[in-house]
Amino acid sequence: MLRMQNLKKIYRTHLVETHALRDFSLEVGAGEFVAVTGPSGSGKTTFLNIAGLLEEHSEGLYAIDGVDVRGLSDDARSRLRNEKIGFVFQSFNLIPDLDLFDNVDVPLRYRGFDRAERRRRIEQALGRVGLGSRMKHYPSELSGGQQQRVAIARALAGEPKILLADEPTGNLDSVMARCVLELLEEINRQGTTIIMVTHDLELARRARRNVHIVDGQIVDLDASAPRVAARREAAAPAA
Amino acid sequence: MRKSPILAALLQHKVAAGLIAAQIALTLAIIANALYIVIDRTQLMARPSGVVEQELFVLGLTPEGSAEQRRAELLADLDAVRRVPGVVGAYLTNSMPLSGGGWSSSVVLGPDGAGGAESNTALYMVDETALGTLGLNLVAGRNFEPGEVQWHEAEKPLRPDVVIITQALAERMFGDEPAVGRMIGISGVRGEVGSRVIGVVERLVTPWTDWGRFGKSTLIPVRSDGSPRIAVRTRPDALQQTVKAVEEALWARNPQRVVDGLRTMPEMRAEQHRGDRALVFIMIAITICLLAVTALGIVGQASFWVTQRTRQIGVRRALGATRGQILRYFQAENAIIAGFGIVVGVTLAYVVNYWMAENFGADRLPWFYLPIGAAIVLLLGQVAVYAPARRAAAVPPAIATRSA
Repeated sequence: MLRMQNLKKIYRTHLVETHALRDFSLEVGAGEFVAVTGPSGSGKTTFLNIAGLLEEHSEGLYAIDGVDVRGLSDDARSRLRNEKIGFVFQSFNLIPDLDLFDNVDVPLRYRGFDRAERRRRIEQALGRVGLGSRMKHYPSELSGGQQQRVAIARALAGEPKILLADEPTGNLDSVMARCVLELLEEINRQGTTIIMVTHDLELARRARRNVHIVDGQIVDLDASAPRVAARREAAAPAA
Repeated sequence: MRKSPILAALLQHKVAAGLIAAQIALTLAIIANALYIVIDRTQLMARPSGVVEQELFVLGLTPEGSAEQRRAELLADLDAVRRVPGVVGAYLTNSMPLSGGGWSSSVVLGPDGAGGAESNTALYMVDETALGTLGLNLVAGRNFEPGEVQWHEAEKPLRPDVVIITQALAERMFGDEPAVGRMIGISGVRGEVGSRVIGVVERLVTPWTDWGRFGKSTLIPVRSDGSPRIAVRTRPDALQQTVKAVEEALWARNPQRVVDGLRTMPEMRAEQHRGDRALVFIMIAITICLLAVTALGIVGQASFWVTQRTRQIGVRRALGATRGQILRYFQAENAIIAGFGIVVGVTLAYVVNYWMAENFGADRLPWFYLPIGAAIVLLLGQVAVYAPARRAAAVPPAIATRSA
């Protein structure tokens, strides 16, 4: 599903070169739930940005769902991101001027679905996170946990291959954090691959596989090979 | 029916969007009217006079003595002018087209045309050489004969036996019927003895450019011995040197005389349209200033929104928007604001123009100036928003993962 091999990311200024990722190799198979941990400045966000096609890597191989992304145009990366990747951000990143329906609609419009298909997917996604009755509400009218569930619905509506979650419970209290985590686990059980970046080790333990990054390198990989369907527990058919 | 997300988002910023829309509306209302004035005045300034302007000049004479002495003096002066090298023709007159001063009269069908058509007309005193001197195009009838030209008796009403009128006046008085041979009363007194129309010239404008009956002129075979003018036609491209030569010829006959009011026709046209040119300049300046202010307003507002929504733009990019889609988002947003402004602006322009027409007799604004104005402000908006929209499109998607 996701393959990084000897990947490097170097930020260059006229004064200094910063190696954010070095010889970074990681494979994530379909249906896995991987937690990526590490201290501040270790390269977690850089990894997430590259994995999510938000930034280009400097060297090495990165293939997503069999597509080598190196050399792709900006438009092609945008389309690939739209089709194959769903994002859940720490600060939700909902658009405050749009109601929940229109927020979930954002990536679907870029995908070019027709009106009926978009409506079907939006209603299904919001229903899946338990907010089907609040489609006309605005983000400011929801709690943090509810906002994060909307963000998850937005990510799921496009039926991505991979869900990238950046500290998805970082801005939530413990009760809401548990609800969101349970939702992610359920989504994973239904077949969606999830890669979650977090500094919360307790949260990371809930994932089926942990990757620890220090100074841009994987230092503690609890399994070198991807654990795919074999470790899926009672996986429900993908929604 | 759900609103477009762009419209829905704009409605969350009603005041800012409304102010820009109001600015666009006001700009449209003003530029549609300004554009109309500019085009109308430009067309007015370009109207042909019917005479060979580049070859004509006029000067004033003030003969002294008895009527007989004055008339003899004037005929001698006219003869001297006609002999000057470069002069093609000359005649005594009271006024010239576009000169700003002259005689006007009302004209009626006569002598028994009471209740018929009526018009105002400019009266030009001429002789049998005037048509050739002015370069007029006779389209019906004949020219005056030398025997028909008479001296005007002071204090007596003008009642020439024959007249030549312009096509515009002929159409006003007689419609589609032939004018030659018909009778008109040029003093405007119904039932009085009239003058017979013996010819029709294609075009001869009045001395006044701001007069509604610009093309309705009457040529009468009369010479005045009061303070007449001599209209002079020169060879092509010899206007300036011939002016000087004519002045010298007149001074040679009488070094003590006063030659005044010497003006070429190009000078007269420029002077007559000075106000129109100033108005056109002011209208263009106002339009440019207004468009610039509106464009700056759009640039400012769009730039502010781009800065304010930088993270949101990054999120949209992260969710799969291409740069082109971000660019088009801001362009569409501007088009929606401009659309509201156009609807209000068109209504405003129409209402203000209607009110001006009803209360101050202003011309009604032709409807097609409104879509032209609308197209201008719509284009202006798209041009103005392009730079901020490009800046928005350049926002990297990685912004989405940075801490808020």
